[in-house]
Amino acid sequence: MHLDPLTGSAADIIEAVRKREVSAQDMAELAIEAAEAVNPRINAFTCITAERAMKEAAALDARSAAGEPMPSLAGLPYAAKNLYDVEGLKTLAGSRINRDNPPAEADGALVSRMKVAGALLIGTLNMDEYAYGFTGTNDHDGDICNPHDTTRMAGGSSAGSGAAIAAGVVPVALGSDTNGSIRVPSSFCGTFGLKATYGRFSRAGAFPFVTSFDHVGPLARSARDLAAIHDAVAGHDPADPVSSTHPVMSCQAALQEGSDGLRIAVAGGWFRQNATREALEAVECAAKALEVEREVELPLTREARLAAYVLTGAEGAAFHLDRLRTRPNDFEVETRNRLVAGALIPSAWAMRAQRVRRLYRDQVLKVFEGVDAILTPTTPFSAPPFGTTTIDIDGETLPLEPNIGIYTQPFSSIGLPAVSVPVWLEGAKLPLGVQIVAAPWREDIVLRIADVLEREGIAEARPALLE
Amino acid sequence: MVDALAASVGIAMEEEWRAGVTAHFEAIAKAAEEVDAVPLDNAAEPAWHYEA
Repeated sequence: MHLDPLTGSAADIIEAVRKREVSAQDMAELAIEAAEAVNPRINAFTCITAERAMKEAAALDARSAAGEPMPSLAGLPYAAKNLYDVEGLKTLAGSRINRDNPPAEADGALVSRMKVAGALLIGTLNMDEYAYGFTGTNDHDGDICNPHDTTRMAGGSSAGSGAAIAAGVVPVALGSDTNGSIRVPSSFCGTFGLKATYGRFSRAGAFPFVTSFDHVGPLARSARDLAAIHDAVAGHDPADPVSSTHPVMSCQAALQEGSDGLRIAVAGGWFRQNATREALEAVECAAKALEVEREVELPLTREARLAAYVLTGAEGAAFHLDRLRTRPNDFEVETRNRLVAGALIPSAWAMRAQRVRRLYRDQVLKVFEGVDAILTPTTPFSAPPFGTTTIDIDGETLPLEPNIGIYTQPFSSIGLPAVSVPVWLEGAKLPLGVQIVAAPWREDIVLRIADVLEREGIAEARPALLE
Repeated sequence: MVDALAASVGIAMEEEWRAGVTAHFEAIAKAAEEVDAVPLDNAAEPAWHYEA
């Protein structure tokens, strides 16, 4: 299945709708057909919201026919991870337990802002249970397959988001990122993914996991499309207690500045350990294109990641404690076992971890006084086959799942903006992500660099050609 | 120990979970030990919520 307008960029689609070369209803129909055709192969969608999408599209077309100005994302088909509230649907968050909840009475903040901006919700997307995983496997709704090789993992926890874009169903999807859950599926599925600064995007109406780490945000087929989504949905929301009032800049406008004058470095130390040769080569490729020669070390990264691991267990378990008490056997086995273990963490361990987290944040911000952006691998390896439990790197056999997020987790824990861009090494059959990280509120910088890499031909979101 | 800790937070541990929960708790304990080894002075603040 290869539907031409849907393998292009969001910007192209919005422009075509604005010029009335194609109607919003045409775009909705194409995306719905694509979702229905492709989903049996990849299991990315848990619900296709055809009726809603057609209604949204018809309303837009009526406005267009009346000569009204079109909103910024007019006619853009997209889908949302099923932890976002969608009016009239149950917010599953990948779980069995949430199926007993009533349907959401209103859209979550980002879904609502996408609607105001004219985007068309095509469906809700499969994910790891309660966002606690990097593999895109789910006992309740089935595993999500990587469109580039359906025997392989899509990466989690926003697995359906990555897979739906890579399969050419939608050009944009909403995901969430607690320890890397936007960036990991971006790396495995070959999409662009933005985790903005903590507090930049409202999480109201998104089912939590570890609230002091939780971010929401977009995956897309280009840096320009991420910038368009950023500009449409960023901004203060009093309904999210950590939503920031920090001024929002136009990232689309910032892209014109390119990367000239930016001080960019490659991260050494931790970010060169436990990576495959291919992951390091992808970073080198990006660094070469950007003429980066400098390397920086981020002190305490290993310890900060371990602190994040402790805190994820403690805070995640505290959030789920009632469900662990009353419905422990309705969780997936591994989710339950990890959360129960987290519920047993002494407060002294958690408090100590919080102090190390703050120390790490302070030290990393000092590094950003001397550089504007840092490049790292997004994941240490490309998408593994389903059933993989260990990975061999540099002659050492390591457990798979704990190592998938080793480069993303440190930056979620201190809330820095980061984007993952897809790199295809010569002859590679699978993509690999390169992560670009900047100081707080500098989404413009990470997107500018991502855009340059795309224009230089280093980063590319290739749609998978599923038959 | 995990049974007693679980009971203290109102979770009734079942036999078939014990090995899995224990393995995860031991992994967390190992991580916490390494975190504990980071030198911190008395002024080091905890980070409940990150604010830029």
